[in-house]
Amino acid sequence: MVMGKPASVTSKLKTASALIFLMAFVPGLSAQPDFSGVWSGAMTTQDHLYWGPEDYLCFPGCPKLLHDTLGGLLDDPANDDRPTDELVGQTFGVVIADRMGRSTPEGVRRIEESSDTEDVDMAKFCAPYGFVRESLNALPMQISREGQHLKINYEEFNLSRNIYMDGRAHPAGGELTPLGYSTGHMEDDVLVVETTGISGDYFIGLNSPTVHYGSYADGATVVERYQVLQDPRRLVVELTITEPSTLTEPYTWTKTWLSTPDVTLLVDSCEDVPGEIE
Amino acid sequence: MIPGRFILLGILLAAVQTASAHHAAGLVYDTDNEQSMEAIVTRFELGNPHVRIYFKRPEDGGNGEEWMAEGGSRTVLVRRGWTEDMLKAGDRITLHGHPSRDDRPIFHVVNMEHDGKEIGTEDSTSENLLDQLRQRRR
Repeated sequence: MVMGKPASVTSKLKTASALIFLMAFVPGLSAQPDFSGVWSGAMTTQDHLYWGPEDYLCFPGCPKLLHDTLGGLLDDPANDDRPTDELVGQTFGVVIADRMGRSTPEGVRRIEESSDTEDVDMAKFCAPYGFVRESLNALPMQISREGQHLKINYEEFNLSRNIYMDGRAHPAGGELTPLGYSTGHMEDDVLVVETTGISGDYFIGLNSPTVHYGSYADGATVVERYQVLQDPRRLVVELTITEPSTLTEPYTWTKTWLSTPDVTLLVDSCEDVPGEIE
Repeated sequence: MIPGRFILLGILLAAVQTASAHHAAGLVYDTDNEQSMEAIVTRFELGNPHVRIYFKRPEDGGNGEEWMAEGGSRTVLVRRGWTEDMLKAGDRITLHGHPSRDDRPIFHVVNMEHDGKEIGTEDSTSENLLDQLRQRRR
Protein backbone atom coordinates (compact mmCIF):
# COMPACT_ATOMS: atom_id res chain seq x y z
CA MET A 1 0.00 0.00 0.00
CA VAL A 2 1.39 3.31 -1.00
CA MET A 3 0.78 6.00 1.53
CA GLY A 4 -0.07 9.43 0.15
CA LYS A 5 1.80 12.52 1.40
CA PRO A 6 -0.02 14.49 4.06
CA ALA A 7 -2.01 17.31 2.53
CA SER A 8 0.15 20.01 4.18
CA VAL A 9 3.35 18.53 2.73
CA THR A 10 1.77 18.29 -0.70
CA SER A 11 0.70 21.89 -0.48
CA LYS A 12 4.20 23.05 0.51
CA LEU A 13 5.74 21.06 -2.35
CA LYS A 14 3.38 22.70 -4.80
CA THR A 15 4.25 26.14 -3.44
CA ALA A 16 7.98 25.41 -3.66
CA SER A 17 7.61 24.10 -7.20
CA ALA A 18 5.73 27.21 -8.20
CA LEU A 19 8.43 29.42 -6.71
CA ILE A 20 11.20 27.49 -8.48
CA PHE A 21 9.28 27.84 -11.74
CA LEU A 22 8.87 31.56 -11.25
CA MET A 23 12.51 32.06 -10.31
CA ALA A 24 13.68 30.08 -13.33
CA PHE A 25 11.45 31.61 -15.97
CA VAL A 26 10.53 35.09 -14.88
CA PRO A 27 13.45 37.50 -15.31
CA GLY A 28 14.15 39.60 -12.25
CA LEU A 29 12.36 37.32 -9.80
CA SER A 30 15.22 34.94 -9.03
CA ALA A 31 16.60 34.93 -5.50
CA GLN A 32 18.23 38.33 -5.29
CA PRO A 33 19.11 40.99 -2.78
CA ASP A 34 16.31 43.26 -1.71
CA PHE A 35 16.94 46.68 -3.19
CA SER A 36 13.66 48.12 -1.96
CA GLY A 37 13.47 50.73 0.74
CA VAL A 38 14.56 54.29 1.42
CA TRP A 39 18.26 54.99 0.99
CA SER A 40 20.06 58.10 2.24
CA GLY A 41 23.46 59.50 1.32
CA ALA A 42 26.13 61.06 3.51
CA MET A 43 24.72 64.58 3.41
CA THR A 44 21.51 63.73 5.22
CA THR A 45 23.10 61.10 7.49
CA GLN A 46 26.40 62.85 8.15
CA ASP A 47 26.55 61.86 11.82
CA HIS A 48 26.56 58.14 10.98
CA LEU A 49 29.76 56.44 12.08
CA TYR A 50 30.16 54.64 8.75
CA TRP A 51 31.15 57.69 6.74
CA GLY A 52 34.69 58.80 6.10
CA PRO A 53 35.85 62.05 4.46
CA GLU A 54 35.93 60.39 1.04
CA ASP A 55 32.28 59.37 1.44
CA TYR A 56 31.16 62.79 2.58
CA LEU A 57 32.90 64.53 -0.32
CA CYS A 58 31.00 62.14 -2.58
CA PHE A 59 27.56 62.93 -1.14
CA PRO A 60 26.35 64.11 -4.57
CA GLY A 61 28.22 61.23 -6.21
CA CYS A 62 31.78 61.56 -7.43
CA PRO A 63 34.23 60.04 -9.85
CA LYS A 64 35.25 56.61 -8.56
CA LEU A 65 38.85 57.75 -8.96
CA LEU A 66 38.22 60.53 -6.45
CA HIS A 67 36.71 58.23 -3.82
CA ASP A 68 39.41 55.59 -4.23
CA THR A 69 42.32 58.03 -4.38
CA LEU A 70 41.33 59.96 -1.28
CA GLY A 71 40.54 56.74 0.57
CA GLY A 72 44.01 55.46 -0.30
CA LEU A 73 45.72 58.64 0.86
CA LEU A 74 43.79 58.58 4.15
CA ASP A 75 44.71 54.92 4.69
CA ASP A 76 48.43 55.60 4.20
CA PRO A 77 50.10 56.22 7.60
CA ALA A 78 52.65 58.42 5.84
CA ASN A 79 49.89 61.00 5.44
CA ASP A 80 48.77 61.02 9.06
CA ASP A 81 50.31 64.43 9.71
CA ARG A 82 49.13 66.05 6.49
CA PRO A 83 46.05 68.31 6.68
CA THR A 84 42.85 66.83 5.31
CA ASP A 85 42.40 69.74 2.91
CA GLU A 86 45.83 69.05 1.43
CA LEU A 87 44.94 65.41 0.79
CA VAL A 88 41.66 66.49 -0.77
CA GLY A 89 43.53 68.97 -2.93
CA GLN A 90 45.99 66.32 -4.07
CA THR A 91 43.08 64.02 -4.88
CA PHE A 92 41.27 66.68 -6.88
CA GLY A 93 44.47 67.29 -8.82
CA VAL A 94 44.61 63.62 -9.76
CA VAL A 95 40.95 63.61 -10.77
CA ILE A 96 41.15 66.78 -12.81
CA ALA A 97 44.26 65.66 -14.69
CA ASP A 98 42.71 62.25 -15.35
CA ARG A 99 39.45 63.73 -16.58
CA MET A 100 41.19 66.20 -18.87
CA GLY A 101 43.15 63.30 -20.33
CA ARG A 102 39.93 61.41 -21.06
CA SER A 103 38.09 64.37 -22.57
CA THR A 104 37.62 65.28 -26.20
CA PRO A 105 38.26 68.91 -27.22
CA GLU A 106 34.51 69.49 -26.75
CA GLY A 107 34.69 67.95 -23.29
CA VAL A 108 37.63 70.18 -22.34
CA ARG A 109 35.76 73.21 -23.66
CA ARG A 110 32.75 72.39 -21.50
CA ILE A 111 34.84 71.91 -18.38
CA GLU A 112 36.67 75.18 -18.93
CA GLU A 113 33.43 77.01 -19.64
CA SER A 114 31.81 75.59 -16.53
CA SER A 115 34.71 76.98 -14.53
CA ASP A 116 33.72 80.50 -15.50
CA THR A 117 31.67 81.51 -12.51
CA GLU A 118 31.17 85.17 -13.29
CA ASP A 119 27.59 86.36 -13.35
CA VAL A 120 26.32 83.21 -11.70
CA ASP A 121 22.54 83.35 -11.57
CA MET A 122 21.36 81.41 -8.54
CA ALA A 123 17.87 81.01 -9.97
CA LYS A 124 19.16 78.73 -12.72
CA PHE A 125 20.09 76.15 -10.10
CA CYS A 126 16.46 75.42 -9.41
CA ALA A 127 15.98 73.39 -12.57
CA PRO A 128 15.61 69.61 -12.50
CA TYR A 129 18.83 67.69 -12.95
CA GLY A 130 19.90 65.45 -15.79
CA PHE A 131 20.65 61.76 -15.44
CA VAL A 132 24.00 61.69 -13.66
CA ARG A 133 23.22 64.46 -11.19
CA GLU A 134 19.76 63.05 -10.43
CA SER A 135 20.86 59.42 -10.10
CA LEU A 136 23.59 60.40 -7.64
CA ASN A 137 21.88 63.35 -5.98
CA ALA A 138 22.40 64.26 -2.35
CA LEU A 139 18.88 63.67 -1.05
CA PRO A 140 17.22 60.34 -0.14
CA MET A 141 15.61 58.03 -2.68
CA GLN A 142 13.15 55.16 -2.48
CA ILE A 143 13.35 51.96 -4.51
CA SER A 144 10.19 49.89 -4.79
CA ARG A 145 9.12 46.84 -6.73
CA GLU A 146 6.20 47.25 -9.10
CA GLY A 147 5.33 43.81 -10.38
CA GLN A 148 8.41 42.54 -12.17
CA HIS A 149 9.87 45.98 -12.40
CA LEU A 150 11.64 48.44 -10.11
CA LYS A 151 10.84 52.09 -9.56
CA ILE A 152 13.14 54.71 -8.09
CA ASN A 153 11.60 57.81 -6.55
CA TYR A 154 14.09 60.55 -5.87
CA GLU A 155 13.40 63.22 -3.28
CA GLU A 156 15.54 65.62 -5.36
CA PHE A 157 13.00 67.42 -7.53
CA ASN A 158 10.63 64.48 -6.83
CA LEU A 159 11.64 62.80 -10.10
CA SER A 160 11.19 59.07 -10.68
CA ARG A 161 12.45 56.32 -13.00
CA ASN A 162 11.13 52.92 -13.99
CA ILE A 163 13.60 50.08 -14.43
CA TYR A 164 12.07 47.39 -16.62
CA MET A 165 13.21 43.92 -15.58
CA ASP A 166 11.41 41.76 -18.14
CA GLY A 167 14.16 41.58 -20.73
CA ARG A 168 12.56 44.03 -23.14
CA ALA A 169 14.60 45.88 -25.73
CA HIS A 170 15.24 49.59 -25.59
CA PRO A 171 13.06 51.64 -27.94
CA ALA A 172 14.90 52.70 -31.06
CA GLY A 173 14.87 56.35 -32.01
CA GLY A 174 12.65 57.43 -29.16
CA GLU A 175 12.48 60.87 -27.62
CA LEU A 176 15.46 61.84 -25.49
CA THR A 177 14.56 62.64 -21.89
CA PRO A 178 16.64 63.70 -18.86
CA LEU A 179 16.33 60.27 -17.21
CA GLY A 180 16.14 58.16 -20.37
CA TYR A 181 14.79 54.61 -20.66
CA SER A 182 16.13 51.98 -18.25
CA THR A 183 16.16 48.21 -18.31
CA GLY A 184 17.72 46.02 -15.66
CA HIS A 185 18.93 42.51 -15.02
CA MET A 186 20.77 40.66 -12.29
CA GLU A 187 24.36 39.48 -12.55
CA ASP A 188 24.80 37.38 -9.43
CA ASP A 189 23.89 39.80 -6.64
CA VAL A 190 24.46 42.95 -8.71
CA LEU A 191 21.58 44.87 -10.26
CA VAL A 192 22.77 46.06 -13.66
CA VAL A 193 20.74 48.91 -15.17
CA GLU A 194 21.28 50.07 -18.72
CA THR A 195 19.86 53.43 -19.76
CA THR A 196 19.59 54.96 -23.21
CA GLY A 197 17.67 57.89 -24.67
CA ILE A 198 19.27 60.38 -22.27
CA SER A 199 19.17 64.06 -23.14
CA GLY A 200 22.26 66.15 -22.47
CA ASP A 201 22.87 67.90 -19.18
CA TYR A 202 25.03 70.95 -19.49
CA PHE A 203 25.47 73.51 -16.79
CA ILE A 204 27.82 76.32 -15.97
CA GLY A 205 29.09 77.44 -12.64
CA LEU A 206 29.22 74.20 -10.69
CA ASN A 207 32.96 74.23 -10.47
CA SER A 208 33.77 70.97 -8.79
CA PRO A 209 35.05 67.57 -9.92
CA THR A 210 32.19 66.02 -7.99
CA VAL A 211 29.51 67.96 -9.80
CA HIS A 212 30.19 69.68 -13.08
CA TYR A 213 32.08 66.79 -14.62
CA GLY A 214 28.70 65.15 -15.09
CA SER A 215 28.12 67.45 -18.05
CA TYR A 216 27.42 65.54 -21.27
CA ALA A 217 25.69 65.86 -24.63
CA ASP A 218 22.52 64.23 -26.00
CA GLY A 219 22.59 60.49 -26.55
CA ALA A 220 24.75 59.35 -23.65
CA THR A 221 24.36 55.77 -22.48
CA VAL A 222 24.79 54.75 -18.86
CA VAL A 223 25.33 51.45 -17.08
CA GLU A 224 24.67 51.43 -13.33
CA ARG A 225 25.75 48.53 -11.13
CA TYR A 226 23.95 48.50 -7.77
CA GLN A 227 24.94 46.22 -4.91
CA VAL A 228 23.52 45.88 -1.40
CA LEU A 229 26.19 45.41 1.27
CA GLN A 230 25.81 44.85 5.01
CA ASP A 231 27.14 46.18 8.33
CA PRO A 232 25.74 48.70 7.92
CA ARG A 233 23.15 47.84 5.30
CA ARG A 234 23.98 50.07 2.38
CA LEU A 235 23.59 50.48 -1.36
CA VAL A 236 26.63 51.12 -3.54
CA VAL A 237 26.51 52.11 -7.17
CA GLU A 238 29.10 52.39 -9.88
CA LEU A 239 27.72 54.48 -12.73
CA THR A 240 29.57 54.41 -16.02
CA ILE A 241 28.69 56.91 -18.71
CA THR A 242 29.65 56.63 -22.37
CA GLU A 243 29.32 59.80 -24.41
CA PRO A 244 31.72 60.12 -27.35
CA SER A 245 31.39 63.84 -27.97
CA THR A 246 32.87 64.77 -24.57
CA LEU A 247 34.64 61.59 -23.43
CA THR A 248 37.25 59.51 -25.23
CA GLU A 249 36.36 56.51 -23.06
CA PRO A 250 33.71 55.58 -20.49
CA TYR A 251 33.85 57.39 -17.16
CA THR A 252 32.81 55.88 -13.83
CA TRP A 253 31.16 57.54 -10.85
CA THR A 254 30.29 56.10 -7.47
CA LYS A 255 28.06 56.77 -4.52
CA THR A 256 26.93 54.98 -1.35
CA TRP A 257 23.59 55.26 0.47
CA LEU A 258 22.69 53.88 3.88
CA SER A 259 19.43 52.03 4.46
CA THR A 260 17.15 54.46 6.30
CA PRO A 261 13.77 52.78 6.75
CA ASP A 262 12.56 55.54 9.07
CA VAL A 263 13.03 58.29 6.46
CA THR A 264 10.07 59.55 4.43
CA LEU A 265 10.69 61.39 1.17
CA LEU A 266 9.70 65.05 1.30
CA VAL A 267 8.33 67.35 -1.35
CA ASP A 268 11.24 69.01 -3.12
CA SER A 269 10.39 71.17 -6.06
CA CYS A 270 10.92 74.67 -7.29
CA GLU A 271 7.32 75.38 -6.35
CA ASP A 272 8.38 74.91 -2.72
CA VAL A 273 5.33 72.98 -1.63
CA PRO A 274 5.94 71.81 1.93
CA GLY A 275 4.96 68.38 3.21
CA GLU A 276 5.52 64.70 2.63
CA ILE A 277 5.04 62.84 -0.63
CA GLU A 278 1.73 60.99 -0.61
CA MET B 1 53.62 65.06 -9.87
CA ILE B 2 50.55 67.07 -9.04
CA PRO B 3 50.77 70.74 -10.03
CA GLY B 4 50.49 73.05 -7.04
CA ARG B 5 47.63 74.97 -8.58
CA PHE B 6 45.55 71.80 -8.55
CA ILE B 7 46.25 71.35 -4.85
CA LEU B 8 45.22 74.93 -4.13
CA LEU B 9 42.14 74.53 -6.30
CA GLY B 10 41.30 71.32 -4.51
CA ILE B 11 41.51 72.94 -1.11
CA LEU B 12 39.13 75.67 -2.27
CA LEU B 13 36.77 73.19 -3.85
CA ALA B 14 36.78 70.96 -0.80
CA ALA B 15 35.73 73.90 1.29
CA VAL B 16 32.90 74.97 -0.96
CA GLN B 17 31.70 71.52 -1.94
CA THR B 18 30.71 70.64 1.58
CA ALA B 19 28.46 73.64 1.75
CA SER B 20 25.62 72.65 -0.47
CA ALA B 21 23.78 70.01 -2.38
CA HIS B 22 22.48 72.27 -5.09
CA HIS B 23 25.31 74.64 -5.71
CA ALA B 24 28.55 75.49 -4.05
CA ALA B 25 28.49 78.53 -1.81
CA GLY B 26 32.04 79.45 -2.79
CA LEU B 27 30.92 80.28 -6.30
CA VAL B 28 28.92 83.25 -5.15
CA TYR B 29 30.15 84.01 -1.65
CA ASP B 30 33.57 84.83 -0.23
CA THR B 31 33.79 81.82 2.06
CA ASP B 32 37.15 82.96 3.47
CA ASN B 33 35.53 86.13 4.80
CA GLU B 34 33.48 85.48 7.93
CA GLN B 35 31.09 88.25 8.90
CA SER B 36 28.15 88.86 11.19
CA MET B 37 25.17 90.99 10.29
CA GLU B 38 22.15 92.28 12.19
CA ALA B 39 18.92 91.84 10.27
CA ILE B 40 15.23 92.71 10.42
CA VAL B 41 13.34 89.96 8.60
CA THR B 42 11.05 91.08 5.79
CA ARG B 43 10.07 87.60 4.56
CA PHE B 44 11.21 84.02 4.83
CA GLU B 45 11.10 81.30 2.17
CA LEU B 46 11.74 77.70 3.22
CA GLY B 47 12.32 76.96 -0.44
CA ASN B 48 14.55 75.61 -3.14
CA PRO B 49 17.28 75.39 -4.10
CA HIS B 50 18.11 76.84 -0.67
CA VAL B 51 16.24 78.50 2.16
CA ARG B 52 16.19 82.27 1.85
CA ILE B 53 15.80 84.94 4.51
CA TYR B 54 15.01 88.38 3.12
CA PHE B 55 15.86 91.26 5.41
CA LYS B 56 16.74 94.89 5.87
CA ARG B 57 19.58 96.18 7.97
CA PRO B 58 18.84 98.10 11.21
CA GLU B 59 21.59 100.62 10.48
CA ASP B 60 19.60 101.67 7.42
CA GLY B 61 16.69 102.45 9.72
CA GLY B 62 14.80 99.54 8.23
CA ASN B 63 14.28 101.56 5.06
CA GLY B 64 17.27 100.53 3.00
CA GLU B 65 17.47 97.95 0.23
CA GLU B 66 16.29 94.42 0.83
CA TRP B 67 18.99 91.82 1.35
CA MET B 68 18.77 88.07 0.92
CA ALA B 69 20.52 85.51 3.12
CA GLU B 70 20.84 82.04 1.63
CA GLY B 71 21.17 78.92 3.79
CA GLY B 72 21.08 75.18 3.23
CA SER B 73 18.84 72.75 1.35
CA ARG B 74 15.15 72.87 2.18
CA THR B 75 14.49 69.22 2.93
CA VAL B 76 17.70 68.88 4.98
CA LEU B 77 16.59 71.72 7.25
CA VAL B 78 12.96 70.53 7.35
CA ARG B 79 14.27 67.23 8.76
CA ARG B 80 15.97 69.25 11.49
CA GLY B 81 12.66 70.79 12.43
CA TRP B 82 12.55 73.96 10.37
CA THR B 83 9.04 75.24 9.62
CA GLU B 84 7.58 77.88 7.34
CA ASP B 85 6.60 80.06 10.30
CA MET B 86 9.80 79.91 12.32
CA LEU B 87 10.69 83.40 11.07
CA LYS B 88 8.23 86.20 10.43
CA ALA B 89 8.43 89.76 9.19
CA GLY B 90 9.82 92.07 11.84
CA ASP B 91 11.89 89.45 13.64
CA ARG B 92 15.34 90.70 14.61
CA ILE B 93 18.08 88.14 14.03
CA THR B 94 21.86 88.01 13.80
CA LEU B 95 23.35 86.27 10.80
CA HIS B 96 26.81 84.70 10.71
CA GLY B 97 28.35 83.71 7.41
CA HIS B 98 29.91 85.07 4.27
CA PRO B 99 29.33 88.14 2.05
CA SER B 100 28.99 87.97 -1.72
CA ARG B 101 32.07 88.07 -3.90
CA ASP B 102 30.75 91.02 -5.90
CA ASP B 103 29.13 93.32 -3.32
CA ARG B 104 25.60 92.25 -4.12
CA PRO B 105 23.12 92.53 -1.17
CA ILE B 106 23.22 88.79 -0.57
CA PHE B 107 24.75 86.78 2.25
CA HIS B 108 25.59 83.12 2.81
CA VAL B 109 24.27 82.35 6.28
CA VAL B 110 25.96 79.47 8.14
CA ASN B 111 24.17 80.01 11.44
CA MET B 112 21.93 82.61 13.03
CA GLU B 113 20.83 83.84 16.43
CA HIS B 114 17.09 84.05 16.92
CA ASP B 115 15.16 84.37 20.17
CA GLY B 116 18.35 83.69 22.12
CA LYS B 117 19.07 80.46 20.25
CA GLU B 118 21.88 79.70 17.84
CA ILE B 119 20.55 77.81 14.84
CA GLY B 120 22.64 76.07 12.18
CA THR B 121 21.43 77.13 8.76
CA GLU B 122 23.58 75.03 6.41
CA ASP B 123 23.57 71.40 5.26
CA SER B 124 26.77 70.50 7.06
CA THR B 125 26.49 70.30 10.82
CA SER B 126 30.10 71.36 11.22
CA GLU B 127 32.52 73.57 9.34
CA ASN B 128 35.25 71.03 10.20
CA LEU B 129 33.26 67.98 9.23
CA LEU B 130 35.96 66.43 7.04
CA ASP B 131 38.49 66.62 9.87
CA GLN B 132 35.98 65.17 12.31
CA LEU B 133 35.21 62.30 9.97
CA ARG B 134 38.93 61.69 9.51
CA GLN B 135 39.49 61.51 13.26
CA ARG B 136 36.65 59.04 13.58
CA ARG B 137 38.07 56.99 10.72
CA ARG B 138 41.21 56.41 12.76
